[in-house]
Amino acid sequence: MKKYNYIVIGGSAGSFQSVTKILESLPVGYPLPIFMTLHRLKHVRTGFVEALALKSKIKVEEPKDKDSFFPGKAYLAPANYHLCIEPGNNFSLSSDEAVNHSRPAIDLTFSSAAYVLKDKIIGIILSGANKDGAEGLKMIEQNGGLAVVQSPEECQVKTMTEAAIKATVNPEILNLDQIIELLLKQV
Amino acid sequence: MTNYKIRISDLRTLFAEVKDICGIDFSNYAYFTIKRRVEKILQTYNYVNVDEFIEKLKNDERFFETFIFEMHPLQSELFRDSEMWNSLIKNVFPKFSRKDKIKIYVPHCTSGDELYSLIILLEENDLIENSIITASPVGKRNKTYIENAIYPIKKKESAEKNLETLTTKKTINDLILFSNHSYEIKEKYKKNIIFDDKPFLDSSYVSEFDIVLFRNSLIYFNSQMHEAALNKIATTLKRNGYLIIGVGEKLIGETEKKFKQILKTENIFKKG
Repeated sequence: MKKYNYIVIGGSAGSFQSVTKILESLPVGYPLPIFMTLHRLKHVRTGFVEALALKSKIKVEEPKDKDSFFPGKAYLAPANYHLCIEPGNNFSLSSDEAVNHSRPAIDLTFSSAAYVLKDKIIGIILSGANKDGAEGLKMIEQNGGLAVVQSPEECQVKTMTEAAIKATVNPEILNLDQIIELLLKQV
Repeated sequence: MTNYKIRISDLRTLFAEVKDICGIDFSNYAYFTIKRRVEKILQTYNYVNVDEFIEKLKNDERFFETFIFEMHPLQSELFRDSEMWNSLIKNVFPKFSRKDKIKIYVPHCTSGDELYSLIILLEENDLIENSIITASPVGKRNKTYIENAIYPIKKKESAEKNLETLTTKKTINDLILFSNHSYEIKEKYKKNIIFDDKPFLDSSYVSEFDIVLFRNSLIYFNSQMHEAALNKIATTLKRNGYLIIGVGEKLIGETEKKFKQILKTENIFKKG
């Protein structure tokens, strides 16, 4: 089985519980960096990352522009900024216009990760209310990464996962427990 | 998202030509973000051939200005990050009195949202009459845009939301005039501004300013230009002058030694 080096996760605010479950299921020292872009209120800067960190065994933080990323950490796109991966394995933030009415936009995190990290990524789309992430997941798949979509039957809102399935050729459609199992098998 | 994908070699050629024309070196901008923006512009104006696009830029001054304008996003909003503005009111404004002449620099302006947010709060805190604000727009069209101060109505919602948590007695109606699809900053706030057309990196100010407001520009630069920009800004500030950068931004390299953060929660620094 091919193993991957990075994980990128996208969803809307409604996927908070799924992301929490993923983070609490990964062991201390889980080595793959995790990049998370979740739709969130642009005017509320604090609280989200702290809530995610409560049950997580790995460190969760909101990166600053030009921060490098490291194994064993999860990174959450900050409020009102897009989060992109730049050549040289560091982050950039941007205040560019909203994409799919979203800033941060999943498409930008996913497409920049696909561009820079090529076939080393697993892209995961969780529950969400618009089609953001579908184009980005398609780029991950086209660059040799693994496209994973949470089973729409398991999602409170299916729009995001259904759009991602439609945009990709051969996505892995998995329920949350299977997604966690897949991530655990990477080490 | 754009469908057009530009080759690295074409991007390098384009940036070299643009640098020759106006001095702006986009090769020092954050790579993925600037690449995506070029692709979006090429798609908007239906250019597949980059050489043809470069020829158009070289021969059509107006088109060139449009290109520079669209390469810099206008996506700030009035009082973005209201906590930072509250901190400015609470921790920085009280350091100045109406007897002081306050010199403020707002480099690399794109939309004017930051500039007018500052002026509105200086006015409310009785400091505008003794303030002189030097603003350097990134291009000619940005200067006109800022002077006009007319914004799409869709930005009004953000401004109102930010006002809810701002330490101010002002309402949105005190600040702007509405029409159907836009709003305009009131004339009383378009004063005490000096526009400097030179790119801020070419400016020759030394120990000139008490406050530099420089938020969410550094995010568009690569590390080298980020540090060079901060070094330049440090030169323009007086000793004990204040530097304000975006909440997602940070000091890097040698510049970390030049400033002291006055509050952990906000990116307001004092020059040492």
